[in-house]
Amino acid sequence: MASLHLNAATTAPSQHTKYPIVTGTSVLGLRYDGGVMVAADTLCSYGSMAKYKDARRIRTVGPATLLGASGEYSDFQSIMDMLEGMEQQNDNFDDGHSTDAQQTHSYLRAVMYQRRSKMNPLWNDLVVAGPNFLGLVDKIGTTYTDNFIATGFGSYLAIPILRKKWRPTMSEGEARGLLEDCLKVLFYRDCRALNRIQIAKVTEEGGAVVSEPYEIETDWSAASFATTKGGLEGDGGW
Amino acid sequence: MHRNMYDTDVTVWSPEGRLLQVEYAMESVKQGSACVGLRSSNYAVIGALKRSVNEMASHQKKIMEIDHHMGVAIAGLTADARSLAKWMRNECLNHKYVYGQPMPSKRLCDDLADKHQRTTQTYVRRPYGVGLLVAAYDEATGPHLFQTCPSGNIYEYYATAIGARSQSAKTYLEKHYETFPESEKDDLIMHALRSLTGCVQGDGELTKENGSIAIVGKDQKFILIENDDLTQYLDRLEVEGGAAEGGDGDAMQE
Amino acid sequence: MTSLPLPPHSSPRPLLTSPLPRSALTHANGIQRLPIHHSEPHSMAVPASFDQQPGADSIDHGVTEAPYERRFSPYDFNGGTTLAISGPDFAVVAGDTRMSTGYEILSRDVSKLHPLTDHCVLASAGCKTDVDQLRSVLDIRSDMYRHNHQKDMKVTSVAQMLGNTLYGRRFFPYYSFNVLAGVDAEGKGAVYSYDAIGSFERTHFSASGSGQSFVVPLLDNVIVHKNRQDEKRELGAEEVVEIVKDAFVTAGERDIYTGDKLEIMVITKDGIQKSTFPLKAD
Repeated sequence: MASLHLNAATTAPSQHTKYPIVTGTSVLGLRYDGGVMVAADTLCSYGSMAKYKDARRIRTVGPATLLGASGEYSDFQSIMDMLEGMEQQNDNFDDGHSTDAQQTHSYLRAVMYQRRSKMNPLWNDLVVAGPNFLGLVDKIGTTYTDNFIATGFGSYLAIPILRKKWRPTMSEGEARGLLEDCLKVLFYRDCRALNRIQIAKVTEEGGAVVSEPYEIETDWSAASFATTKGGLEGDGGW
Repeated sequence: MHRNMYDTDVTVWSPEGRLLQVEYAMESVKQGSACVGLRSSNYAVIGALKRSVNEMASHQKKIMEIDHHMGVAIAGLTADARSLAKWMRNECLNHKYVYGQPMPSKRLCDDLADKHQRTTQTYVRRPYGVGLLVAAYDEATGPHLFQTCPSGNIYEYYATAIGARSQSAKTYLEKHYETFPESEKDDLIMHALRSLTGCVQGDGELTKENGSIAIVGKDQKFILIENDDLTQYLDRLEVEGGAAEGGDGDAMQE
Repeated sequence: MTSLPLPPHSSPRPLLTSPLPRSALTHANGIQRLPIHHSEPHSMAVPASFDQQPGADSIDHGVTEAPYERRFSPYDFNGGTTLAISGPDFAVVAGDTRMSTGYEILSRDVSKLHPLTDHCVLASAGCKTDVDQLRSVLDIRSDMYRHNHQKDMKVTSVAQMLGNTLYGRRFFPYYSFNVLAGVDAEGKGAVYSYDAIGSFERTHFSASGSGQSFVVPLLDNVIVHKNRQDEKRELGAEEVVEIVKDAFVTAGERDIYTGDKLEIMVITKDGIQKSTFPLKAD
């Protein structure tokens, strides 16, 4: 996790992003029977400050593509502008062609690689989902596709859960349940996570839909949260 | 075509409301040797007659591959066509790099038409003196056949022909195009060859030297069929008995 | 926020061991060049951190060092091993399918093999984003070659083109370690070995990537018969494939970046035959 450099204002202005400023944490995605689901919380942090609590980090691109972003929020917004420009161009051509998830993924890789090659990256890890596609692009243009994907702290905390619980035949309900469980664990242990989340799905029939933000139930009664370590009274440690 | 005082600049109108330079460019397409194009619901085929300046010279290439899913047949100035083909190849490669998938053919042809149009409105440029038949297969929308003009117009067809004596081919294709959707690869190729026979100059014949066919379609990358590869189809044509002479297609079966 | 002084090192480790002078190793924009060959020390190879202090540990777990500011690196090390062996009328090329970063496995099924023509395969490990870019560039160049010459490239031409493509980025290299395999115009197996900036050589066999050092000594013995008294025998493609499997099992045992699945391609004049073989996923 990059620490926020407080002296940034005193150094010479630079057009290049050398570190992120306002950041979103993990994005999770998984395939299930009939579609792909993406989940993230709605927090954007300014260093360690929980600055924006209604930052929507999962967006739709065209009718059947989802894009989830962790990392620098302003860079994500600028990526959305690019994609909206691309959509507009498709509409203008009026030839029935629209950019699907796989093409969006490939396009974003090209953008990310070009920017990293100019040493001026867009500081994001992006999860791209379509009805039958789930892929990741990172800030240097690294790509892969998989049955489940997690960015940020999710790669440490959610991936082990997903490895254990994920099945290709999961129903929509099971998939959502699993993602909520993962986000809950992330909220417990990732200090830049929030219990206010959005879940999104993309299917062949229904296209891409993103839920309104909602809060997940948390339970802090687990022994490791309630009892101090070693049973020592008043040492303040966990 | 007679010269008058309004035909020296593409960007100047004649009092009749015409752009004569553009029309001259359209004429150069009509002087190029014939090209035909047709498609079924799974494949698109283009064919062309190649010319050679004399017996000692090779035949001019008439069909060019643009990408695995697309090719063009050309009538008019070959040099202009080469430059356009190069541009189209480049667009396809760029699109494949950025989007990871083949260029949608309609998208490319619309861009190509715009490229033609710009030359009719821009100072110190001349229109391309070439017409193209573009055969393509898109995974999403199936086979396509487009025709471009120097004027910047673009048309999509089930079947058409351009170039010298192409009217005979058009007549043939008009007579048969309703049967094309169900046609197999070889049937389309034969139709292309039959329609071309009427376009051969004078008492010449369609031979493996001057004939040229290409096909692209479902599970079929663009391939060029020329020279010895063409012989089997020409043999079939001969068996049919010099069918479709003059484009009336009386001896047609199938 | 001032940074604390770095803990003194008993014997200061040189930052770069290249024979080039220090000044030649630093770009005008302050970027230090990456090592150009995978045999150079690990401390130089991964990760590519451009503003690292001399003596700083290359892997910082976030607890042992003074406060630091994370800087952008255009490179990542995604690990993996590739291997190619040539035979009289075939070439066998293989790569594992694990993709990692740091101590994380990103994905278990990402191919390192990339067919460029019907008789030529490129196997690459290293930084995935550069590998992808390199593959795209080579695909485009071989497509243009096909348009211009109406034929597929020969392996010898692909080999030269890869060398030129890599050298074209001499001062911002593709962080990819390549092995090229195919059959040449005479139908003989051909294997080419590269460094990251385009120097190359036709060899009998070549291994590259994170498990290279485990595979090469084994093949020196089994394939090249180095330091052996018994008579050397010509191996068929099937036997070579079995040796390749053993080599990857061996590498997978000791290299954390090698594992999950092995992809093997046998190239002959008739085309490419693909097969897979499971490796340990631990």
